[in-house]
Parts: sequence; structure tokens; C-alpha cells
Amino acid sequence: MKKIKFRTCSVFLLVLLLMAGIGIFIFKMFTSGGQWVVFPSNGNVFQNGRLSVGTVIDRDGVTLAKISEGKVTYAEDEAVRRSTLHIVGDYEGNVAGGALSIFRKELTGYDFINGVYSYSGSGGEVRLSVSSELNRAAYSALSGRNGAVCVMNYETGEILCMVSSPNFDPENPPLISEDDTSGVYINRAIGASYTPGSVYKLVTLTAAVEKIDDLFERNFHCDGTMELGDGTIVCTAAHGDMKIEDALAKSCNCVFASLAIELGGDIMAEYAEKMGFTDGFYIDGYKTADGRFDIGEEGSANLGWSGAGQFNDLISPISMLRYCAAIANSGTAPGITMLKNGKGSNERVISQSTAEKLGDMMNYCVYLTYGKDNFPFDDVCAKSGTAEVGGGAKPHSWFTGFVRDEDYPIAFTVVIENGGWGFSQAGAAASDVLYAVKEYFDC
Amino acid sequence: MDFTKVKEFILGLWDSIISAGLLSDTVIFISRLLLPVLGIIILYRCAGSLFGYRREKEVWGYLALPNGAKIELNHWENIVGRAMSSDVCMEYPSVSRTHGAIIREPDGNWRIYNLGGKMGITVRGKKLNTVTTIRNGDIINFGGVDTVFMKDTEHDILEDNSERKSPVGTLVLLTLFMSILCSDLCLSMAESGTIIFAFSSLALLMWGSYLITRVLDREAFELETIVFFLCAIGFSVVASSRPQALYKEIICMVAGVAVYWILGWFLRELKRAKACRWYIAGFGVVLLILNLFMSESIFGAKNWLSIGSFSFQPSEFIKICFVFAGAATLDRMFAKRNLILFVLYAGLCVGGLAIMSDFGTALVFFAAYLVIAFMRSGSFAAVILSAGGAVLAAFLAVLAKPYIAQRFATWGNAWADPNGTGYQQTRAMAACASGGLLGLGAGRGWLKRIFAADTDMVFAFVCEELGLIIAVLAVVAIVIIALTAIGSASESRSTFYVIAACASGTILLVQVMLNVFGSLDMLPFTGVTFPFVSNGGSSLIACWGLVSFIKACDTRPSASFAVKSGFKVKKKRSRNEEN
Repeated sequence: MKKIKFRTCSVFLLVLLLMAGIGIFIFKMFTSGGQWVVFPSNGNVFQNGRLSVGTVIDRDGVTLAKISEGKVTYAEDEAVRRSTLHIVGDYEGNVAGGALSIFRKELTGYDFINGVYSYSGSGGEVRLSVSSELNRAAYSALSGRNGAVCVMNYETGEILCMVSSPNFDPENPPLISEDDTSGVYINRAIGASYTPGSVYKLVTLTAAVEKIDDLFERNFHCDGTMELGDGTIVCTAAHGDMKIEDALAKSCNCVFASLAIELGGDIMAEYAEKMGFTDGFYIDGYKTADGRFDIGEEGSANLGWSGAGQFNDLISPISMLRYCAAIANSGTAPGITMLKNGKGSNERVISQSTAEKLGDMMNYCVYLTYGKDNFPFDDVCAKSGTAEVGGGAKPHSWFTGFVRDEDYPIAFTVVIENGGWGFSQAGAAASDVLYAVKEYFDC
Repeated sequence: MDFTKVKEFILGLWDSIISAGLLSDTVIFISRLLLPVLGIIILYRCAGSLFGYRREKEVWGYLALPNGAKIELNHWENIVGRAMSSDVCMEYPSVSRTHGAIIREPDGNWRIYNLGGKMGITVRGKKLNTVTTIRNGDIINFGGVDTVFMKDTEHDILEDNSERKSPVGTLVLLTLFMSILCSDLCLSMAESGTIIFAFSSLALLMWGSYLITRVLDREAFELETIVFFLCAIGFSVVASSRPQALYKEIICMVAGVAVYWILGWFLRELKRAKACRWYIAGFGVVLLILNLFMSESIFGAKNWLSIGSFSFQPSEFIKICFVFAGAATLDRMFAKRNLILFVLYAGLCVGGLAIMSDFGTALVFFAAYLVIAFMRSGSFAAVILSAGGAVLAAFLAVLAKPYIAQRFATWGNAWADPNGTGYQQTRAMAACASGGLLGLGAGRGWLKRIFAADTDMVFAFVCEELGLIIAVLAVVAIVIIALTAIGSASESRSTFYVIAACASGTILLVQVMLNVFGSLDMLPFTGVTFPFVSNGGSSLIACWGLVSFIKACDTRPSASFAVKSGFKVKKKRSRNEEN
């Protein structure tokens, strides 16, 4: 009988195999359960391949979208519905990168312990970091013009406001033909890239601050034009003699073109990449649009123009916002998130001293060019851009910057497509948005 | 006082609570927390009672050695030899490693077998060739070492002085478990009458079984409790997916319990069981042949047999016959002829099932065959050879049946083709994750809309509605049953019981493995049922039969109805001696 006792180990082996398998499955379910749940055939939370539960609310609890019984109820206010169209997304799934598609797991209310169970069966709640109030203000600041407005808290990385135009009312979606070219479904803040124009001078300036030792001692001179190899760099006026901070404040193309030539194409490209302008990055798992920086021939006008944000330069509004946030945040770009109390991964892009110098010079721009009184905050640092797009179209209008104030850790970027002058158009819209932000923060 | 108004008000309130779903939401909220806790306590109590109990060894006789040592014979079948694995270990160089066997026949007489000890055995001075009967006080010489055999005549009845816990508490908890499941289901399903009837029948059957156990003066009810626990989960699955099938389940449940009692009673007499085992094995062959030639193909595998409006799967019952054919007493284990016959029998069963395209069941049989072969021969080589042969056979099967090759190809890649080859597995995984640890509530799942959810994907079904904890508890329940079979080996009276119990345990374990891991894409998908939980009558009855083999191993004093108590044995023996 003792022999038989030993031989029962064969059955025990099966017991061990079974328990090991169960252990592996539990581990798999723990790590991948979230992906399994959002399988569109999962009838617990999907109907005909569409999510059937979940609520999206803004940072203050205002309902932006609520799914139940196969349809979505959006926010009550039309301006809120339109302004949050791209960040919330539409039920049909035409708008990419909206909360309804990227936060599907959260909308099902999934967690390992409860699965998709919820007491009333209404699924999960996704609280975005965006304020519907600020979005409505930004929407009205754009006043129907195409473009994008985004505002973030540069300490936490939370996006406080993000509006893309053109948009539509998801409650009454218009008929949009398949060969539509307006790109109404694209969230221009994160999913599109524009010629940056003068806002890109911040990048050239960063490279110069770090690579050219006597930058701040130098005297620059501008005659209004500058011949470079095969072409000419043109300024809005002959700016005369100036230091580097005046060159930025007056947005002198000649000075920045000559800096680009001096630094060389490789260093310019290196900085474009290092500052996060060429490759898109991830916001809550969703990839933003790539930018572009082509290296012009050494000494050519193309290289010169690329240092002033022209030539083939393209950047997404969100990448410029991220860079401004990095300057404001002592050189560290905060991990950007669309979720309240969300967390992205921080990345140091420039040193603290460079960040301080850049901040001071951007502050000088406001002091000298844009006018402190145009803004509700004492210490605004900003840069405008007027990006020539050729073909007789009006230039894209940019305005980007941040508020240097512990109580208002705000970075902002406004782009208006074919809007005209940077400060007069985008800058005015940014000013409206900043007034709304101040009001929002103060109450 | 106007009572009708009060009544109207209360009824109206009740209606509004029901229609708002408040009541069912609250009941589900509470029960999904309660059920796992109850499940854990029930299984813990059963396992504690099964394994925590310090079994005192039964003593059937003694062998006195020249050095004065008196070695107990704890089993009906005892090997004498020099090897440490012998039951009577004699460390003398002239004694062979496996020298002889002293075996108590079912009628109470003792025999000694020569198992090939080199220096031979002499009994009462006469050289032993193969076997002879021995009596109390006989001098037996093992390879020159004299021993005295003594029958235990006085105290082979063990006083049951342990404080065994009554199973009533556990049964009350299990009844509570059933009623919670029942009320959950009634709130989420329309067929509440059927459901209440089914669960009441289940509870009645459980208490009835316990009553019979008590009437027979037996106490242990752990295995039955565990099975009823599994059946409660199974009933919940059937109630949620196909409530009208509950009536069939109840009938099969009654039949299963009947098979359990009859088979258990049958196994009490080792002599009878031994004598009948080839008839039973033959019956298995008849079933197999019937199955091969008269069955119809339902859902791919050709293994259903219809008699009138009643259809069943004979392959489920062949399992019981197979266990009978495989079990052997110690004296038979050393005869090669018996093993060869069994190998042929196993080949017939596995081959027949493969022809029917029921590869899942064929695999279950093959695993049981491997375990039986190893337990009987103790040879790793034999097992490895068989496994090698099986791989070859499987390869041929893959060549012959392209759909099997396809199942192997998709194994592990279910998500690559979620609406094609990975259709069932991906949905099973999504359902598991949706249920989380605590489940969505009985009757509230979605997986039931998928084909074969209540049979082949039942683990995911349970996981979704009752939660991962209860699904894993169902697996643990089967593991406890299998461990009981393993644990019985050290006390059991005959290898016949141990091999039968271990083979049954293996069948249950392998079925669980194929069912769970197949549906979750961790093994190729085969349509095998989860014992007691999957919807299916034949499987339910057969699994009850398998458990009775394990019950027959429980030699704790006055525990198992399938084991004669020492008291009765003694009475019978004294009668024998009088004669």
C-alpha cells in the first residue's frame, strides 16, 4: 500500500498543474482584464458594437455626455456641447481621440474587483480636467474662426480648456459628406500641425541661449532685409541696433535667421526634436500629431527661415503649449492629461537657468510689445506668431505663453487659422480666455 | 380604519420599488458580497473536516519479527519486503525488496502471496509457490527470517473518540447559499416559479441524503456537501441560461444521487466489486459500440444517443466502466496479463471516442489511463511510452481532421481573430473580466447568449455572473475531491479502492482543466463539461458515480456509507469463526 501511496503523486501533479493554470489566468485577468472588457462584442457594456454605459463630466461635475440605452445625452448648453465636441467625442466614433473612445475602459466602470458592476448599472464616470465654463469662453473667443485654444495647469499637467474649431453640435449633427475637407472631426489642438511662424523663435532662442556664450552681450543689427545665399530674409521693418531680448520682442526675422545660420541645421534639428516638436507624444495613451523640421542647406535662406518658424516648419498647438509649460515649470514639461487628477510622465527638456532666461525675455515681450494692461495678470510671459502660409492666404495667427504666478499656474496657446496678425487676432482671443481663467480661478 | 387603502398603498409602494429596480439592485449588491464569503466558509469547513481529522490507522493484524518488533498490518493488502516503500519493512539482506504480500480477503480470511522474493517464503515449514491461506499464529519465513502472523481479534474496531464536527452547520450555510442564489435569479429572471422549485428540490435532496446517511449511522457528508455546492452553482447557470432545462436537471440530479448510493453500496463488498468489474467493463464496450453505430452528431461531436425523446451521452457513463476496468487489487497488480488487458481496453475507449470526434473526452480517458497505468505499474517508462504513442496518434488525428489542426493553430491567439476562430474564447475572457472578483449577479450576465456558454464556457459564465472568487472556488471544490482521493491512499484497505478513487479524481481534474483552460485560450478549445456545474444530465449522473469511488475510500470510523464499519466486519468475522 505504501507503493500506491507514492504513486498517487501522479494525481497530485495534475492538481498542481490545475492550480498553476488558475494562478496564471488570474494574473492574466489582473493585467489584461481592462482590455478584455472593452472588446466591442462584450454585451455587458456594448450594444451593437457601441458603448452602452458611462458618463463624461467636466472638472466641476457638469455632465458633458451620458450614455444610456443606446444613445448619448450631451451637455445642456449648446456652446458647451460644441466646444467640448472634440474632447468628448461623438457616439458615432467619427471624432478621434475623444473621451468616449480613449476612456472606454473607464466609462465601463471596470476595475479588477467589481468588473463592470455598478449599483445602478450606469457604468463608470470619467471626470475630465477640462472646465466646461472655460471651454465656452474659449469657444466664444474664437468667434467662429477656425483654430484651436488650449489652456493647461503647468504644475499638474491638467488640460483646463481645449477647443477646436470648426465643430458642430453633437445633439444635432449636420450632414457631413465623406469628401468634406474642412476637417471638422479633427481636434486641431492635438491632431493638427501648423506653420508656427514667430512662436518658433522660442526654439531657436533656446538653442542660442545654450550654445552661444556671448548671446546676451551681443549687439544685433537689422536693416529690414538680409541676403542669404539663394534668397532674402525680410522683416516687417528695419529694427536697427538691439540686444537679443529686443530682437525677440520685436520678432526680428533677420536676427533669428542669422542665429539659425550660426547654429547650423543639425543643432536646429536637434533642438526641434529635443523640445518635443517633431514627434507626437502621448496624452492618456492617445498620440498627438507629429510636427516637422526640415534642415535647410547650410547658409541658405531656407535654413534662416526655418529659424523663424517658416520654410517647412510645422508644429502642433499642443506641442507649443507643452513647451511653454516647460519654460514656466523651470524646464520640466509636465505630463499632460485630460483627466482630473490624472498623471502623465514629466520630462525635463531644458535647464532651469535657460527656462528662467526664456521666461524673462517672454515677459519683456509683453512689457515692450503686447502691453501688460491687455492681460488680467501682472506677470504674463508670451510670444506671438504670424505664420505666412503662401498662396495669397492670410497668415495663421499664434499667441502662446504662460502666467508667472503661483496662484495661477497657467500656460496657454491660441492658433487662429488664416487669422492675420499674431497679437491682434490670437493675442486678443488669448486675452479674453485669460480673463475667463482669472474669473474661474477666483471664484 | 380602511385596510384596503393601506393594502393598496403597500402594494403600490412595492410595485414602485420593483419597477425602479431598487429591490433587485440592493439584493444583488448584498448577495454578491455574501455569496463568496459563504462559499469560502463552506469549502473551508468541508476541507477542514476532511483533512484536519487525524485518522487513526485501522489495525487488521500483526507480524512479529525475530527482534521482538510487532508490526501492524494497517491495510487489507500489505507488501512485505526490504524496500522502504513496503508496508512491512524487514531490513535483512536475505529479504528481497518486494518479497511477498499478506492480503486479507473480503471474507476475513488471510492469504499470503509470493511476489518473487529470491530466497522464497515458507509457511508452516512448507515452501510457498504462489499463494496460500494463513491462520492466526502461523510462522512465516521470509528469506530465512522467521515471523509470526497474528490476526487482530480484539480491537480492530476503532473507537471513534475524535470530536468530529457535525456537518449540519455547513449544510445550513449551503442552504443559505442556495436561497441567496435563488432569490437573485428570481429577481432577474422571469421564470421565478421554476427556479424556486428547482432550488427547493436541490435543498430537499441534500437534506434527504444527509438524513439517509444518519439513518445508516454514518456521519461524514463532506464530499456530498462539496458536490451539492457545485450543483448549486450549476443550477444557477442553468436557471440563468435555460430555465426550462431545470426540470431535466432535477431529474438527473435525483438519478445521480441514486447512482451514487447504489454504486457506493456496491463497492462496499470488495469481492463483489472485483467479480463484477469485467462485466461492467464489458457493458462499457457495449455502450461504446452502441454509441459508435447508433449515435447522432450534435454540435460537431458524434456522441449523442437518442432513445425516444430522451437523448444522452453514453461516453459519460463509459467513464465509470473505465474506472472499474482500471482498478485492481494488490495481488492482481503484479500480474502482467491484467495490465495488458487494461491497455487494450483503454485503447478501445480512446480510439472509439476519437472516431466519434469527441477528442476532449478521449483526452480525459487518456489522462485517466496514464494515471491508472502508473499506479499499477509504478513505471515512468511505461507512462512516457504511452504518452509518446498518444502524441503520434494525436498527430495522425490532426492530419485526418483539419479542424483540429485549426484549433491548435488558433490556440493562444484568440484575440487575433475575435470574430472567427477566437469567437468563443474572446467572449469568455471579456465575460470573465466583466464579472471581476464578485460578479454581476446571478442571471445578469450576457455570455449566456453565446452558444455553449452554459457547458463548454461555463467557467467564464460563472465568473461573469458570480465572480472570479466563486468560479475559482468551484475549481477548488474539485481539487478538494481529488485530494481526498489522494489522501485515502495511506489508510485505504485495498489498492482497488485507491486506484479507482485516483482515476475518478483524475477524470474530474482533467475535465476541469480542459473546460477552464480551453475556454480561456490557455489550451486548445475542446468541448468538455465542468463536473456538476455545466448544464448536462449525462455528465451530472456520471460525475456522481465517479465521486462514489472516492467515497468508498473514506475509511474513517463510521464515516462513509460505502465502507463497512469495523463493527459490522467484526460481527461477520466472529460468525465466520463460529462456523
